[in-house]
Amino acid sequence: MHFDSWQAFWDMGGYGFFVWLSFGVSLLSMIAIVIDNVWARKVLIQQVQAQQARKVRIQQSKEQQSGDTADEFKFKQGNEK
Amino acid sequence: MWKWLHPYAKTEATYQLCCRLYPWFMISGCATLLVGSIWGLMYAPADYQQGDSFRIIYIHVPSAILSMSTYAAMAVAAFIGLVWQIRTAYMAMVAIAPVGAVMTFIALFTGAAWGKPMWGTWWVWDARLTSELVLLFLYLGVISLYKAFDDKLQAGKAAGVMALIGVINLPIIHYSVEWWNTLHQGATISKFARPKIANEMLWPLLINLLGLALFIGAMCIKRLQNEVLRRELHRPWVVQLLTKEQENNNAL
Repeated sequence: MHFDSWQAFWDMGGYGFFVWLSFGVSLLSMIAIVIDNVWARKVLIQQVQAQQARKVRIQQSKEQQSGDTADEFKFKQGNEK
Repeated sequence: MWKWLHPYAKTEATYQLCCRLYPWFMISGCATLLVGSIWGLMYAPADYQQGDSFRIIYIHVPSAILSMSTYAAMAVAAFIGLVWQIRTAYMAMVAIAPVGAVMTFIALFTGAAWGKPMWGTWWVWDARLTSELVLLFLYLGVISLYKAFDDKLQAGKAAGVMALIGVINLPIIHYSVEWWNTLHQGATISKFARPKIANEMLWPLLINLLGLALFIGAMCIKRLQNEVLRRELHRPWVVQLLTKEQENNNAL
């Protein structure tokens, strides 16, 4: 190891602030991409769920509507008789 | 000759390939970066002029080199998309752009943090620094142009043209230290000449260069996957895949 002690390692010959600032910000930026990727995936899952739920709702309301009209039709037919 | 590439115009094939590649890139990239950084920070000797501040080189030089390589990769994807009308290529382009932008930011930021103790200033408007800043704006331009269109095929074309035009900036960045008088030092490593750096300092630099390249690869792969899913959100295979994933998440 190049440094005599941990103290010297963190101090970086007086340049500690700049060295650790550089490495710290770089690490944070890289972690930020990783987090963004995971987060984007979660959003996609939510979107698919919403999309599927919407499909089910449309299907249900269609069935309901067609059911209504059939009943009305029968009702009208009954009146005519 | 290029026939083996054709199946990957189909997004599902691309997605599957990404699934297989991602762990290799991610694990090897992180491991290599860890080795290179520890070596560079703890074991490499100090510079005789710059002392320990030169250790910023182990993140600055790889990120700067790769910010340009990443741009080249993005431009190749844009070119493929424009010439052969392959949708997946545009997806790759837009997956690469934010990763490249982050690398450019890292290069600029670490450069500033290195410039302050060595040059006495965080920033100067000299050729190398300014052209690298233009690279960041080119990345941001490609990203925002792609976002500006609702029709993503149009978006891909517009952003692709911008990416291709921006390629002119790459030689400008590379030769800026030779063409103009600048505060920035010349290249430390080059493909053609003997590196101007001692071997004990060079090895960790090359290792970090490889590690960061692998990490960038991993990030681009992951973003490409997400972009494929986003574009194909109504396809049955995507619905099935993401619904299954949701169920797995719920089970955990």
